[in-house]
Amino acid sequence: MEININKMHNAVPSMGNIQSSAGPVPTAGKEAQRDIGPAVTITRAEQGPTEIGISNVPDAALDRNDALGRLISSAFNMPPPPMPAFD
Amino acid sequence: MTIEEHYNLIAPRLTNWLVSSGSSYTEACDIVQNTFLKIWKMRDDLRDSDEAVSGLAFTIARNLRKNLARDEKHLAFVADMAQEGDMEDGDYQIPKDAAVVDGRKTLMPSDAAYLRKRLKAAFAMLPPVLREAYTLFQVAELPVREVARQTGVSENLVKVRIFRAKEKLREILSDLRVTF
Repeated sequence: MEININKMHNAVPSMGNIQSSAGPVPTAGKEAQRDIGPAVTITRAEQGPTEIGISNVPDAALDRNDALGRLISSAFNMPPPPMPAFD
Repeated sequence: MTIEEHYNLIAPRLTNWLVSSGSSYTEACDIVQNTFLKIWKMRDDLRDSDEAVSGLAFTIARNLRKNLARDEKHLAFVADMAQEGDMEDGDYQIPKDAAVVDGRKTLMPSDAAYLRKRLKAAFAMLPPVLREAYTLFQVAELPVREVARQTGVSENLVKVRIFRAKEKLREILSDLRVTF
């Protein structure tokens, strides 16, 4: 997504990570409305909005042998191809 | 370990991971064999640790598949599913004993092919970063540390992605008679 900075007078924080070749671009407050000179094109960071972390992921979330894990293991249990000739 | 021993250890996990994350079985087999032929050519420069070879195998396989996808201009699973015609509504009726998980006891599904289709479709519905983290962890059985290395993010973020992927999968697969 490309945004023309000249049209962005009321940028909002929900726009996510915004980067430009000129460095970080403020997304709210008076700083966002300052005159930054010539028009530049800014783009949303490739990864989209920053992922909000979960401070403590429960140990159960990393259990490969829970019901979902066992279901997946039973479905994806296919034989590998024959070993190629290593010579 | 010999290359044959590495192959026996890694090839099954690699095959299953490739299929679970979008490749047809035929394509997965080709990628697995080509991956190990490349590793064989690099054998003089390899550290002979299981984890190093495993990490290298997954890196090579991911790159080979990316090249294939770029060549074909679309993801393999789209063609795979279209060929099998399993996007028809009628095909989404759940076999009575497709999957039954009761407490800690898992009964093998009578129709593993059906279940694979459902799971592949469910994986395809996940955001790519969640799908990648979860399938590498669950199907490929890579440790969190190696998933983090493969995907270029921190171990904590990998854990968060696994957690979120599982939440979404439970939601997507809620019509299966499985107690998650």
